[in-house]
Amino acid sequence: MGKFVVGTVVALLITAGIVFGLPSSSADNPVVPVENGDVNGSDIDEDTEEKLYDRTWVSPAMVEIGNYYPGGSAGWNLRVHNGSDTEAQFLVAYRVPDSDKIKEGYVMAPAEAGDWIIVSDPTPLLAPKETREIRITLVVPTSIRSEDLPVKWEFWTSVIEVTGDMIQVETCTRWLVSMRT
Amino acid sequence: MKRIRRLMLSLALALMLLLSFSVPAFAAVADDIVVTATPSYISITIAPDTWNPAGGSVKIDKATTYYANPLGATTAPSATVADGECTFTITNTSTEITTLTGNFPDFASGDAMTNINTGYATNGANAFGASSYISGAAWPGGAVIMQSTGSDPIKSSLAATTNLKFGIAMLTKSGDFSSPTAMTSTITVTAVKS
Repeated sequence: MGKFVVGTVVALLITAGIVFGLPSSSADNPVVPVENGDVNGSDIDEDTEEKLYDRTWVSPAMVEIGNYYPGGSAGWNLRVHNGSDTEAQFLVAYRVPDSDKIKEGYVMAPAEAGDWIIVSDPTPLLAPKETREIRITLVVPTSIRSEDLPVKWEFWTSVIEVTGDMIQVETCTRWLVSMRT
Repeated sequence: MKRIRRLMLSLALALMLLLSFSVPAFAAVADDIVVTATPSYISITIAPDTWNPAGGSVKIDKATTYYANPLGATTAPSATVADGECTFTITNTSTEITTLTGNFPDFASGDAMTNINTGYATNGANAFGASSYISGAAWPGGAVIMQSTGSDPIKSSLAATTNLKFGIAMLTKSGDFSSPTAMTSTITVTAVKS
């Protein structure tokens, strides 16, 4: 019987070590957010990127942040590709959305939202055919009360290739934020 | 044999206990921030990327309407705009339906005209007006006012991988030009998922 108890305890400890050692999202520690954004296979459409090798593009077109709360950190890697045969300078920045293009059910980001967005590399210089991952992170300060923010709000990020020409292209990504309720 | 049975029984018990602990932990995922996106690509280019309204190095005149129209710098497009009446081609290889908007900021340097923001049919002593038009649209009824910021879309809900041809109409200011220095403005065409 003693061996049975010892065996059970040992097996329990080993299995617990395996299971609890795995990364999991637990409500036991809600102040530590899940920060998704490590680009993996599911985030890249390799076939499309191969087809667009000679085109300049930005991906993704839209990012959704759910269950957000002040103090939390939520990020995603914006992928910017220079399809030209020469190096190209880009500007990556927070952008106020065009008011007539806000997604239904959402409202314009608060006026100070630009201060809450961190762009890891705002002026990337990309080599020909280079794809660069630029981290965009939303961190609303804890001094902002959740109830003072809209339940659903939208901001954009803008990527502009700085050409110095009279006509330039700006590519925007929509960021849809839903607050924890 | 008995040892093996005991070990198997121990493992089974351990698993049952673990399941009872782990289920609530995994069920609590809803409390965490969730960030999601699917692979989707916004990709447009515009050619040409320059425009001298009067053509070549010709200087513009006051109170004159110029068109980004290959048929002539002061030639208005037809009642239904044809491809050949549009100087600019947007090559769209986006994988998403997109909305395209064109903003035409004030000119800087030289005489520095400001955008009157009411379209190509009106100007001011020091202000120009501008509108965009696209192939297949009615002229002038389908023209879209180009403001310095916050313009309406040149084209809403452009299908993925569908190109677009467009032109610009600009009425220069009514006042005299006096500066020998060239003035410039940078038109920005914005693409965003519809």
